[in-house]
Amino acid sequence: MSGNNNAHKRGESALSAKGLVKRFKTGRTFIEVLKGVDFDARHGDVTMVMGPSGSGKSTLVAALSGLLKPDEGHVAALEADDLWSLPKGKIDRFRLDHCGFIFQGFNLFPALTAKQQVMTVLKYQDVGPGEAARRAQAALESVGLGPRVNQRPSELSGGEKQRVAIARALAKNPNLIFADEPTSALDGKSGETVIKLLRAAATERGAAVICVTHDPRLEAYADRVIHIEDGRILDDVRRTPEANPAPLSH
Amino acid sequence: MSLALATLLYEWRRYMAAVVALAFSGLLVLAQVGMFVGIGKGFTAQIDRARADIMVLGPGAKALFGGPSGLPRRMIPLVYSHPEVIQVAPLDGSGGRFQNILSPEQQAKAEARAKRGEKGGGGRKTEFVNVTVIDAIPGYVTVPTDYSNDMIEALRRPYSVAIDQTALKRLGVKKGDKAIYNGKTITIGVVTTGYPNIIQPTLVMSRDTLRMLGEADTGQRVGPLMVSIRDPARAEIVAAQLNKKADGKFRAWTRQELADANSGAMLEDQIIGIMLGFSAFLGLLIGVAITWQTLRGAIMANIKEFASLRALGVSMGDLRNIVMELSFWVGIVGVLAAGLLTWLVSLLATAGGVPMYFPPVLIAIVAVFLVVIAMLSGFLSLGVLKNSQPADLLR
Repeated sequence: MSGNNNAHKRGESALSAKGLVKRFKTGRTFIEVLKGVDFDARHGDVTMVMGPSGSGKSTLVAALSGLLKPDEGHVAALEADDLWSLPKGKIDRFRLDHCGFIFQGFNLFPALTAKQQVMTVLKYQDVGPGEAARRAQAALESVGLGPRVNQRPSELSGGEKQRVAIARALAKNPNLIFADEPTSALDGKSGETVIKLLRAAATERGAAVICVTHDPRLEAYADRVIHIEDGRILDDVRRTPEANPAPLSH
Repeated sequence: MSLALATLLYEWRRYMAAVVALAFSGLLVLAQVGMFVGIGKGFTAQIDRARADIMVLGPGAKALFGGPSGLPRRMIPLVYSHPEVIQVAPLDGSGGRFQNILSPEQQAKAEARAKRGEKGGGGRKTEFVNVTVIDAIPGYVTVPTDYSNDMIEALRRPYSVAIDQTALKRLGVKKGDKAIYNGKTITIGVVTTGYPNIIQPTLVMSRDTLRMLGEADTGQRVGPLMVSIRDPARAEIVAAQLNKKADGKFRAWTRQELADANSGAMLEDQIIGIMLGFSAFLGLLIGVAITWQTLRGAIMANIKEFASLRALGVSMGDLRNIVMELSFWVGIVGVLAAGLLTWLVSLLATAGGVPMYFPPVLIAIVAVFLVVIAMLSGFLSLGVLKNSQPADLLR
């Protein structure tokens, strides 16, 4: 895969946030979902954000990635010193240029083939059709879907759909990859394929992978595990990813 | 293939309601205009198929009927004076009461039926009819191109008339019957095809027959002039030269020009204009309402996919473009469907003896109209995209 390979930046800070606060209004009361969270992530790392549901981990990712404006706090990501001070269009452009997203639901257009799904996003990055087709093919091959590029989502299994979503995110050569429960809708074997692909994106391409999950088996693949509960970070542990983690499927 | 087009083709069931709504909006307008223009064509069929290369009307007249289209008799030599003009003949016409004649047996039968309270034809009929003339000379400028020599021969006989087959039932006659026109006996000598007129039946007779009936123009004014010239290809040039010569006293038209002006004049007519305007408005309303709601629903169904594009950095403007493109394609498919429906309806109409005619300009206008409806609906549906909050995908 071509493009901006950031393997050389490994270890450098890709993203840092200070004092993130986010409140949601429910009825007459405000619920504070994030209570002053500090966060940082480095190139080449897989950072796991773990916690029970309602702990604020998804909100944290939304605030870090420019999807949901925090009420207080500051996010610096790559060359953007203060992401949330940028105008809306610039934030869109930042995400287009630098961010890949993988969601729990696959969110693929039913009408498009795997290759078209990937190419659609590349088109908006002003990649020419020939180049887009080539990169889409390469991205799909890298996630092991080479023979299935012309299938529509209805003809793909859940794991294959998630791999298309990953290819869609990776084809852009993003420096930041956000994954929200990427394996929870998948069986053990498919989940393992997916987390290995994310691990590889961090190791080989130097992307900062931020993965929200409550699946403890994924810890084995992480460089760093952050536990979050009730909108606060409980602990932040650096670890060495296991060379041969136990399979997710039993 | 673009995302919009691929989605429309793959999820066509979702968009079916919009396409059908557009198709019927188009049909509503097309079928009505087609019918009115078809009726207008019925009025002027004899002129459209005339041998004349140029027609000369009074100044200001736009159509052969529905206005003072005649001119003073002294203009005939003025037109003749153009060196390329070969023949000039005024169109003449009249109108009056037409009655069929029943034999005593038919009369008795009809009375018996009436006594039993049955409905059905066969009785005495009285209708007002139009009369137009031809010169019963083969190849003459007033003779329609599709009249055979036998037909002309038959019309040359005194008091012989031609009736279109679509009018036979209405007038209660058949070929060879005798009938009464303005109190004088005439014979149905010829039955024509392709000259339907659903407003008023038309009799065609020779100029001499009209004269014998005492209704020919003999005064200072004559009807529109039919002109044939040496080289029909030069019709436009000769018409222009005649107009220069006329100096405002008459206007020369080529056949095509007059045919176009005729259908135009038809639409300018008050009642028809109001009816068409109203049904176009209704079509717009129905089309927009249904198409809008359908598009809304269809976009809502894919809102998560749109949200994932937003997350990946595709701007709101680009998503709006996708929706607008989608509605454009829905419009195009709607145009095709409207065309198909209208074709089917026109087949039905033709089978029922109602002439329909669709000028290309009209088809183009309706096509644009449908695409505008679709785009308008797409524009109204843009609000749904606000629901494509990528943050909602994170949960």
